[in-house]
Amino acid sequence: MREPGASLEPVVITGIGPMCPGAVSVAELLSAGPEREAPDEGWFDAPRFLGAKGYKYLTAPTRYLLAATAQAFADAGLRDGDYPPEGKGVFVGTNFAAHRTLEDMDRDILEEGADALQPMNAPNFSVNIPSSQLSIKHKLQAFNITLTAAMVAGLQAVHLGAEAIRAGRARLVVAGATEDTPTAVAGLLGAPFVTGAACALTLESAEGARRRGAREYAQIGESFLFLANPMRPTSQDALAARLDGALRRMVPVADGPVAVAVAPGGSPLSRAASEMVRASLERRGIGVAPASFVGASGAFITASPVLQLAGLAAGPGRGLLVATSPQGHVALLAIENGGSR
Amino acid sequence: MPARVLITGLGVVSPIGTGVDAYHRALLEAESRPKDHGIIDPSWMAVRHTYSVTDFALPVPRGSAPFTGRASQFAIHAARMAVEDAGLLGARGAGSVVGVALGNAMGDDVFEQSRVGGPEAAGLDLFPFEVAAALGAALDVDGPNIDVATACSAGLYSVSLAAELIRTGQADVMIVGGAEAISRVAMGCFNRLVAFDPEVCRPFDAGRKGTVMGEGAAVLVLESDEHARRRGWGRSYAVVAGEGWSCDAHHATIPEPSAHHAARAARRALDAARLGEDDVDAVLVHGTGTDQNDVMESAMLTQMFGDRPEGIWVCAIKSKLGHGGGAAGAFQCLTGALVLQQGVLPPTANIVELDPRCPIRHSGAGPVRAAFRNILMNSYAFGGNNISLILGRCDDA
Repeated sequence: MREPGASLEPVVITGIGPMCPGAVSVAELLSAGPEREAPDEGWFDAPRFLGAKGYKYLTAPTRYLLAATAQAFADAGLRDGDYPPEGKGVFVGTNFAAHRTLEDMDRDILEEGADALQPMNAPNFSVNIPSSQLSIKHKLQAFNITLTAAMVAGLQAVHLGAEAIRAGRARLVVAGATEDTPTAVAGLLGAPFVTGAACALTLESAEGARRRGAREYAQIGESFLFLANPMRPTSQDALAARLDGALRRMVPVADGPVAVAVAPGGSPLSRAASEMVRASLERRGIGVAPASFVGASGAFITASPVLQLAGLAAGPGRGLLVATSPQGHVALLAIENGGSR
Repeated sequence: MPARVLITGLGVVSPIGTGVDAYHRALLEAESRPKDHGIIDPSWMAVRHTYSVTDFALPVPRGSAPFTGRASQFAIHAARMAVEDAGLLGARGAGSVVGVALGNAMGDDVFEQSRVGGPEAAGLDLFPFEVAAALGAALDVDGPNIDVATACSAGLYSVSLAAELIRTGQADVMIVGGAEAISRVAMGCFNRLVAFDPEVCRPFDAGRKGTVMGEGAAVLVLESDEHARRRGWGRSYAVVAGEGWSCDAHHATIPEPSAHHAARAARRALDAARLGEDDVDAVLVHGTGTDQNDVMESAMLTQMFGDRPEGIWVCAIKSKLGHGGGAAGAFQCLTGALVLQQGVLPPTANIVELDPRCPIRHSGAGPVRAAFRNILMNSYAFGGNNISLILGRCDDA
């Protein structure tokens, strides 16, 4: 954790592109009810977002990510020429982006041999192909980084994307998450079902956003990334103390309530961590307003926490996201609403 | 002023040996040839040979605990060596933030194993891309935990992302590197893309026909100089001087042939390290043995260092290790640290006749001994994901 009070170059969220069952726009993200049943595959209208053709050999999570990014760019009012290609980068989180592709290919190899694989489809075995195709499509040439961690990889992507802007590695970053539909992991997440989906955000330096007159949803604040070892459970007191220390830096002053979103809402670690966060903030006289958006159950895996962050960003005031993984990752990310400034 | 990032520990599980001493000795002296090691059935694909880890038995059978895929086991074993080498085993200071950033391209092989008679994947094994979390749990380190999946550049990206976390004060120590296990699907796809050499991995040789898969784990301990000083630790291999990132955005599998973007990453690494071209004494190249990579990388070296009459020393360790995927850059970084500490650049094997399109000054049959000051490393990956990283000699070590 940085020194308390260390000033960060402000990085702002300027565009939001949800792409999940129930929400393919910011308005739907803010109005959709909680997900309860697995959608049928028809929820994703590829031609609407990707045009009539040109994506035959792109996997489902690649299509979701391209569609989410198209929505985020439109939402941000970004045009191709606003930044040079070498100033635009990509950070994407996932765990299952290659899941079905790997399974199908392995069965083909075992049953018919590698000659049965389609050469045009062969590159898709690599889990970083969705982000790579995104860079190719929009000429995003600063960098292209895929992270994998169940649930929290999308938040890591947002945090490290903001850091890359602060370090001068890019001026615009597409940060988010995309997933395919995996073998049953719903039980591990406490979600009613799991399915593929994506969410993309555009991040810019506040200076860059202001220069092009962009709307600023929110400024990205401090984050806290931590691993609570599931094999040797950190004692509740130790976890509470670490969260307390982090929150004193992330929410340093008591000036109004904080909207807190949690994903996946049903997991024991998430419930414990969010309860500790609430108690820590309330001890300091900071009110907590629970917030929840589509995907909060964890049904969209790494996209779920990014959707919660997007919902907080689109709302007023200060927001805090709490996300956890079955592997013990605990991630906090704070945002400050910047829309009115 | 940002923290200076030191490399204070190394650990390795590789096709040419386990442990830094065995690895280094083999890299300098031993022959290394790929073998059919039996996990790939002849009915599945034509090219089945790999550079495989053979001297290391998986200590934990699958099913007895979570996180027990082959890549995770390589990572855990290499990391324990690295942490011990850095004198950090059980000696972590109170209040220190120790995290993990690990490169890995294919995840753990639990699903592939389950389809050929292994136990069904269950529990946390259902999340196969979790090698960094497996390592964090095994070492009981609770700082930032990042699994980097930029395919063949993941190893170097893990070092760079972790170095940034240390420079910005978000971590004191980061356990970094890469781990990869031979994957049946990756083998099948490379067969289908006709990207394998049926004989040997021979980067820059005129007769090369592709790469050859490798596996293993290379792990480094990165530490802020202040943290090392605070715990009274005086020995470090090298300094992580600077890194540059870029993306071709050109093609999913083919590098952009002009090398413009690869050179951009290298220039940016020099700028970040506040060095000029003349300060770099050798390059540990990506050097995969594919026609396109080696021609492109040679073009990049010519653009960067072409005005040196004698050229710059180039070493391609994949000629001994094969292509370790998400671990490849970590092997380069670990090797670079040893080059700087010991003043010996390993040979580049298997160059019988240098490809005239690759006018490089390669280390050839024998190691090159010199007081190397700064080493440049490159990794290039699917999607045109490029990184260059510079390690500097630790004169105060």
